[in-house]
Amino acid sequence: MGLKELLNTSKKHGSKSLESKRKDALATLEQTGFPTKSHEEWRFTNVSTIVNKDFRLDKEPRIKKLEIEKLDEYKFDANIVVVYNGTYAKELSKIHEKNDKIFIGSFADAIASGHEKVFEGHFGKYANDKADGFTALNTSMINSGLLLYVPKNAVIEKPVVIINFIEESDKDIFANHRNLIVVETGGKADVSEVFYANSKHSSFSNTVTEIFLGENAELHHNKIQNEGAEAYHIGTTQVEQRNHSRFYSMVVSWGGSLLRNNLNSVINGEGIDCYFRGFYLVKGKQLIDNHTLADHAKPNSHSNEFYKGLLDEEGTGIFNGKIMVRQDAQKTNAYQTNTNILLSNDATINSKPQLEIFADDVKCSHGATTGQINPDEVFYLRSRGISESEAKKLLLSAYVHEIIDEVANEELKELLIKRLEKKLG
Amino acid sequence: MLIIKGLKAEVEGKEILKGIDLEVKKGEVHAIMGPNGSGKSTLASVLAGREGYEVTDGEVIYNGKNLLDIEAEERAREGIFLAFQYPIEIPGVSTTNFMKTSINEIRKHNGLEPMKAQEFMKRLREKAALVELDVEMTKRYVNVGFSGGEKKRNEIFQMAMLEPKLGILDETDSGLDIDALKIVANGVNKLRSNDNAFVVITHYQRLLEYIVPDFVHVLYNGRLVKSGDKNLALKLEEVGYDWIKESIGA
Repeated sequence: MGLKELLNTSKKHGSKSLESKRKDALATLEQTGFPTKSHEEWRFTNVSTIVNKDFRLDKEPRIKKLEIEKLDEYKFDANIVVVYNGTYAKELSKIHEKNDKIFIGSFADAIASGHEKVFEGHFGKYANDKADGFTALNTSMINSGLLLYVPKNAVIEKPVVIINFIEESDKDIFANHRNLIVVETGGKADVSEVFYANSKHSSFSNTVTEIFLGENAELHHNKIQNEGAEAYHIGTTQVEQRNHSRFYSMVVSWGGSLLRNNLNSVINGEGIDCYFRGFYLVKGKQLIDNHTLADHAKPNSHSNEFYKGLLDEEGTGIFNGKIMVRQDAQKTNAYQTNTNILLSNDATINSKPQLEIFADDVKCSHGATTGQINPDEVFYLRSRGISESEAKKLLLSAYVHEIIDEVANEELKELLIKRLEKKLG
Repeated sequence: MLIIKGLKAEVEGKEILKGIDLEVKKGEVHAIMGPNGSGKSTLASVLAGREGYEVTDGEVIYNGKNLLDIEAEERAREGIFLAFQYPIEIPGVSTTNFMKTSINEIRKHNGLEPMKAQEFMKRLREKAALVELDVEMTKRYVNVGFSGGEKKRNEIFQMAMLEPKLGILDETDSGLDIDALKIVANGVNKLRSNDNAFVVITHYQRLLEYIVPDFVHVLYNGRLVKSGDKNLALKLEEVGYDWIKESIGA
């Protein structure tokens, strides 16, 4: 049974428009199919393993005690949302938010509690089902879904951490995650999506997050990929930004077998700030692919991208960062940097910065570097009594810190730093 | 403390040190002077254990141990400190963190527990004052965005923090204005004791007005061709290195 056959097995929802969107997505998927290596945007990432594998939905997830213990790491002073094998686990989630105008919960609960208008107004408006088969698959397979709604001038006091677990099971689990984050004019939120997959079997997370940022809205958005060695992950984060909004994205990927992240922001207004930051660590035969697009549609906005990679053993990294400056987007400032450190002779990085500029009065720059740990730096540390292995660890840790230190959620940052030390140890 | 016998070394197949003999005892300060390309920095690098230098002959005995058999970090833990001619910038690592790691690695080597935070901070403040370094600077990334003078001062600060037995200063005076030179020299003078020794490598006599050496050696074309006291440095300043070339018949 392949992915397509799965489609008939997914649940139905109450919303009429959602049902019709699912039907359309299914038709789109049948038309386009899944991307192959002959697609320019998928040149280095072969998804045939995913498409041909016998993934199954966990239709009646039973949460075991083990998983609950794993949550202990997240005793954060935060709103914790737990998603288990692709389904929102309300009983494990802890929502502290007092402001009853703010909503955090499943699509069905959102519709039932009077947020239908918000849902209808934004759902499926940004992510493009025609972009690749996986987005269409995601739309057609929507399970519980999650809506995070911050109305005008509201602020979510505590960060939101969505923990997506895929757990031990007797089958290859398919988890379809769909999130919609709407921050209206002047609203503020800090949202993290964290992924775990601990099954000895394969698992596949197909994730789409749509984000709308109204005027002067601010969102810190972190995506942390901690999946185990047998996990596949294809994800799209699609953002729509309006005037003076601020978007801070952080993508940390250090797990999984094959991970692909699409991060696209349509900078659809003036005075916008858009930050894409990321770090990836590949080992073994892992492949991590980050495709980003800063799409400047209007004048006087700013985007800044900084991704770093560490590539070890026979791992492969792909960075494809595109800056699009459309004809109307005069006075755009857009910057992009990608640096990589190769730790082994068998590791590979394909780094491709792309600028497409159709306006004439803009400031844009991009740069990509790939190198090794600087031997002069190692010797300097050794000459002060620090062992070679400790020196390298210190230097690599410093290299990664420059990215991770930008995480605004302090508790999450601490956890990431702890995990980083382990990874480099 | 340090005995160098017939030391020869190559860099990329080219012989740079052609037989060096030198003995440094506790409490002494030796200056090694010489024109560009004479092998001064190579000597410093070989002593510190930098890779890329191949010792082809001779030996170096440090406190009874064959120094050339020991890794660079091990030498540092045994009390050798090289103040770099071109200090390295380490983005992402603060000087404080660097020194804490360093001191604790050295202490571990000597069978000691890590230094207590309070004691470390006390030493940090004291030693920063010694080289007139703003303590705030130690919170910054190592040498990143520092001026040439600040980098050199940071080297002497690190030396003060680690309290080595043998300090090797590789052209620490180059690129320093007179005020910075005095600060650096003053720092070294305060560190001098009967238990440690210094090898000061320099092109110019100027530094030696402030760090007064017990011995001055002239390194020329890979050999120590002349030795004397501080007056030798003065004479070199006066008549230049051509005098050496003539006097050895080069």
